[in-house]
Amino acid sequence: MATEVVLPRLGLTQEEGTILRWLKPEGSRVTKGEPLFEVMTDKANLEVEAPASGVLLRILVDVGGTVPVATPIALIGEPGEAAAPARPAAGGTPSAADRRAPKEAVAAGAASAIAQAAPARADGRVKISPRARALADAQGLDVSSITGTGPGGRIIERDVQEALASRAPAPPAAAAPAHPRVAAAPSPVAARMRAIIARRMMDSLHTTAQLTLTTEVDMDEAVRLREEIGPELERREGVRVTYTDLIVRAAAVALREHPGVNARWEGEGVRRLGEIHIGVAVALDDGLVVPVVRDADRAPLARISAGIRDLSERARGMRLRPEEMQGSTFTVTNLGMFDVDAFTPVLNPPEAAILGIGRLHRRPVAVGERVEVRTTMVASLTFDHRVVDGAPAAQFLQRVKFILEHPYLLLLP
Amino acid sequence: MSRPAVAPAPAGEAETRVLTYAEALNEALREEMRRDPRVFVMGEDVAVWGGGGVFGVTRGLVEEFGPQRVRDTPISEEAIAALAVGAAVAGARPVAEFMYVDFMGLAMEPIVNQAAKIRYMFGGKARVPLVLRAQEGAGRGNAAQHSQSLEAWFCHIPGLKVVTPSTPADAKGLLMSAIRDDNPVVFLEHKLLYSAKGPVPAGEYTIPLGVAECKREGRHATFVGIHTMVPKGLAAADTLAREGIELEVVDPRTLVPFDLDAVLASVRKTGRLIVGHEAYERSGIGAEIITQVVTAAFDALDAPPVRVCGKNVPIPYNPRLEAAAVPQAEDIVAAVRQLVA
Amino acid sequence: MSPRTPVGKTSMPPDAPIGLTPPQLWEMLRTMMMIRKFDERALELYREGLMRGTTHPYIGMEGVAVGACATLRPTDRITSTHRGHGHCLAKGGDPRLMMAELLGKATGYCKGKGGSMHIADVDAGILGANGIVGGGIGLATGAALAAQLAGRDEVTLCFFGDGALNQGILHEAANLAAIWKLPVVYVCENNQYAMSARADKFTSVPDPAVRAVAYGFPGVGCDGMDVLAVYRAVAAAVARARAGEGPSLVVCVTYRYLGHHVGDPLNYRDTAEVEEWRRRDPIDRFAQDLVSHGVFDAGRIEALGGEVAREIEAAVAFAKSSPEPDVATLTEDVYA
Repeated sequence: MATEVVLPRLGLTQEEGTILRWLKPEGSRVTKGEPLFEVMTDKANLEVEAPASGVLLRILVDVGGTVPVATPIALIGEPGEAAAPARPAAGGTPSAADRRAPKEAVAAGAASAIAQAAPARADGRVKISPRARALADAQGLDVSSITGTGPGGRIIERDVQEALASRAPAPPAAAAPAHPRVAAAPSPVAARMRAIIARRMMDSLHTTAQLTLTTEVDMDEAVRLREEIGPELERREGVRVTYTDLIVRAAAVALREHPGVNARWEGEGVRRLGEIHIGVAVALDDGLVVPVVRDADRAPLARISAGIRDLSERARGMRLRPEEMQGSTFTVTNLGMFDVDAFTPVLNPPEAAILGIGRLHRRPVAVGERVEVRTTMVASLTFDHRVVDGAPAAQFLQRVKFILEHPYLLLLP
Repeated sequence: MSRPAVAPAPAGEAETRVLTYAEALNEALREEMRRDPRVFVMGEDVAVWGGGGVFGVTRGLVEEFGPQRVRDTPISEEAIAALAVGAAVAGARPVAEFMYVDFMGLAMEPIVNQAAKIRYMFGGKARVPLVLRAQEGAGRGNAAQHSQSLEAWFCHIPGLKVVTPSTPADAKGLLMSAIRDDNPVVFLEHKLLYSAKGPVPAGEYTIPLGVAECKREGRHATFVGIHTMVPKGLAAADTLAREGIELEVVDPRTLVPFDLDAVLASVRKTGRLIVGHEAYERSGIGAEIITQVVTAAFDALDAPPVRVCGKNVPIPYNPRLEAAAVPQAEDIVAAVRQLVA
Repeated sequence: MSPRTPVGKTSMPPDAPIGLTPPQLWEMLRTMMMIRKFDERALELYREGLMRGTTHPYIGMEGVAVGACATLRPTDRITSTHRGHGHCLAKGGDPRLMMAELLGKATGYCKGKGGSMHIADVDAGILGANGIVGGGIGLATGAALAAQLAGRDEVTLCFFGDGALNQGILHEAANLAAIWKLPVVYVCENNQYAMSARADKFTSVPDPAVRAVAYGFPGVGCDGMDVLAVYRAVAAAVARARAGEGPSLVVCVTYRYLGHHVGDPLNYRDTAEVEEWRRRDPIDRFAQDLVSHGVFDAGRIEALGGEVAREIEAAVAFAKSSPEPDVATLTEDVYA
């Protein structure tokens, strides 16, 4: 078999060479070790010896040809011999794939980690920390409306947490329900009300130091008063007096005597409010609204009663004006019609107190040394301890109880 | 590595006494030299000076083990390292001491080109069970050539392991493990810690290399520090706790291999990372740790990571200047306050 | 530069006892031929592009490696240099595994990860060729320390070149070996050129052997082109070390016919000098002396040449047909 003559590697950095001269013509006999050709490398012109003896059968690269190291450039052998099969790829040089593979293996970890980091965002202008972004994404929150409190206005985790606490719930699923008995989504108005209620409830619980006192009120006298003046009021004024009306009036009178309860926490301290406006909680189909009876301490019972009737009716019809739902300094909320004895009403911020009314309940009580059946009712006062301490709050509640047990006091202007 | 536990006093039925960091290291050497006759110590002034060692770490060893196994050497750092490498390849288990990490510059050839590479270059058919001990750190007015922290040099070289204990118990447990490790381990102590006291279990006590320890739990920020930065971090945590800020202090204990999982678990909890080291800030281990954390847990970060490190200046001689050149507990407090603001 | 000892015979007068049997002499000749053939073939492989990096031919210096390693037991150790193929073969290295390592194959001594300059077989006492000039000096001294500590009867031979004479590590290690009386023999292969730096110009004393005086141990010179002279000088040093008397320095004056590495422009020496040294070729001289002293006949020696060539060819074939290492092995063996 003929011997291939390859372009030799003649130096550390040599990658290719240019044939300058063939020192023997094709077809001539050469001896191993005899100078055969001259090559130009990047460093020098060098003479190269024949690697074998025989006839120079063929010159494969002519003068002026530049080829990489290890390229066959001639064949030496005996006439008639064929060249050896194509030489295998130089084992020493890694293929491109090989060279890439270790880098890939090593970089794969890093690259995949980088790829897992925050994906590209269309709204890339929002300055937000990765942790906050991850939380917002997980909760489906649109961050563009959040104000950031981090350095340079960056949105940070607590900003997202606060936004989540007060945001509207996510809209109901757009896809058709799989099951026909799934309830219809609430109306947008109801959804909005729910969101507001949710936010206000959480605000109240998070931002106030509220606790509840209860007292049992003997309502026999109040019952008698209502039975006696009720029909008269109805005939004269066209209003039917309810216990809620009486209690609102009683609370207003007591607030006049206990101005510390008719106050709110503002900034760094307590602000007493000059006017007494009492909100009356009205239950709706899907929510709750608190229309406000203004100047409840200066309105006669009839007007309170008429006012509450009107407000409640319009509240249920969703026809309250905004100013009728604002400005209360105290709230009364009645769950007695649902047989609730006592409860812990949630403050209606920014008010400092709320009075919860339970059911009127005929039951035996001790009166002096005897047992009588009387009508009792539990009044629950939740108050903000930042504004009012326990003793003054209890005193206020005690006064409300006294007024309701001596209800002719309600007739006083 | 799993979530690190808060550092308790070292567990076990073994008796625990209070020792200094230097005494703990001494105990580790003594235990290992008793256990394995191939372990020997060599270095400058390790045998005779003051009963054993400039910092007392080798105290009393030559009396028990003799001058063959506890060898004083001339001042020949390159040869100390090179002979230690050769001896390790030939079957011994040397513990070579360098009096100051600053002098290891002279020994970088045998450490970097021989010790770190022999196993790999020889196709896995050799091992270099070698410990190279040195001490780092500023704070004694030793000035620029005797006060450096150079752990980053060694962390950079594949084939080396790097250990930086901060407490006496950690020093003992990690040195015993380092001696038993079949790889070259650069074991870096801190000159100010030699007199620090702490509980140390008696007898056989090993801490695996590559396991961090949470020295103090906290919810608001993660502080990763080595050597004297650990007590400084704990002091900063005390100060911050009075302001209602809880700083978690994680001590990696080993830099290579690094317990990244422990740091990630902490950062995922707190969202904020501060790394502290006395070494020059530029290209220090803080850069490596932060990069690893950001790459692995970008989404867990609520703020950019922060470094509290030595300034990029040679350590000055004047004490006030020296204190200003390296990070103090107040610097950690200030960084945390800013991070959680 | 002219050689100082006269050309001609080796230092083997028939009446001077040398303690080597004919089989040992045969083995020495065979190994010298193997080294020559190995490095010639390595050069060809390099020129064909099958071998990467570079190679440092030992051609011309075979007398030193073989003469020195012939003094050793299998349990003794050596450290080698960047020009290490000769040392490895002389210490019993397998040419097939060496060739495979040169071609970067998985079957090589270092699984393809070391290459020419890092060939090692620690279990066979070859503590590695070394890419750092003088890198083996501290290692050899440390290996001797380990032997002393363990009470093993084990000598370590440290090969280094004239270029390493001026590395600081030699000073430090020699001093330590002297004060601790370590069983190490420092064999300086003075082929008179570092790369282009001539030893006589860059070393502060004309005869490097005198530097041993500075450390208080013996330093001798010998003709590195005379394998038996090398043997004698190193054997004495090994005996000293084995007897616990400490280190020695043996400086063997020799010559590399080819460049420092492939591609060396060789413009720092002239071809006339090369020719002078070729006339003192260690293999030719040894063969001639063995024949002229009637130890072996010329025909056997010629046949030996063919046998060695075939063995080296088989090593090349083994290497060429061996597989490349798996890319997954990239990150293996960084740590134990």
